[in-house]
Amino acid sequence: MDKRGAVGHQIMAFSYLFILFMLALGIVLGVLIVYGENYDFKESDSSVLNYKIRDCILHNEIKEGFFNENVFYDACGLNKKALLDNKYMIKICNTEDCVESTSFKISLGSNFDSCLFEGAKENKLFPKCDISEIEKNSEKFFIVTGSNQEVVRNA
Amino acid sequence: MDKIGQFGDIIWDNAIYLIVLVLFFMGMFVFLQQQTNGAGVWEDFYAKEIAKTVNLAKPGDEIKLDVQKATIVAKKSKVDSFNHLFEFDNVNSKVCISLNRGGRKTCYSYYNNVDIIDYKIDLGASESGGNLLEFKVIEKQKEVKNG
Repeated sequence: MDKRGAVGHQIMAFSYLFILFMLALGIVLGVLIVYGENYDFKESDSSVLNYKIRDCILHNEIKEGFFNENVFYDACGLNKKALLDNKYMIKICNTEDCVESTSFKISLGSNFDSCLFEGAKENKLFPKCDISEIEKNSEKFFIVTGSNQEVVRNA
Repeated sequence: MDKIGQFGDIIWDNAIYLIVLVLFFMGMFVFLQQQTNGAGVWEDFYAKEIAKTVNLAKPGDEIKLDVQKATIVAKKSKVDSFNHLFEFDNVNSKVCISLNRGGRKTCYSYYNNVDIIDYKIDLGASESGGNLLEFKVIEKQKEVKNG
């Protein structure tokens, strides 16, 4: 084969492999877009946590020291270690500005401000929060919960 | 180079192109097969929904969940046995699902302060003849007992 033939041959092989590579890239990207998204569960997770805390406050006698960490988690059947390890947030206050307030009954986790970010609602990297209000014995409780837990995949 | 030699070269070059093409399509087929049976998606779904069920459970509850879809996915992925599709880790309060043959697990934690015991898959036990995951919820034990 002459030199020009050899060069043409190499160009053909390159373009052939390039087309295959682009085809593979398109298929992989397409599949990842369709099947790669995780099932968004943070909102549901923080709602359940909020419900459990509301239920706990309503069904327990709120004595002095109820919101002490040793008492509260036991009374509400919550595993503090699991909550801490998995980026959950809890804050209970008597005032409406609970998310920003520095005066609270009990608090776990940080970055509560992200609950108010408008941009965070569509951003999956941010925690999803649930805020509720209950009244017991003429005392108001504002409960803020959030979840930022992700699934863990291991081999 | 003689004509027969040139003809042989052309055949050989095209054969290589064809072999690469066949290998490419086989690879893509295997990749798509693995992805589209949705094992990863279903593992994610079941891990989160089971964790939610555990979070809402109370000690003393006995729970039965329809996991027919999970067992179908596991069977498609050629998982040998259903014994380890669902596992509860009471030490770290998490549920792990494995619907693939490679042994990869998808885990999600629950925050309810309980332990899960006696978990098993009951084949054909649902009203529609599907498979059920059964487990019991007990108060958190200091000494961990697995099901």
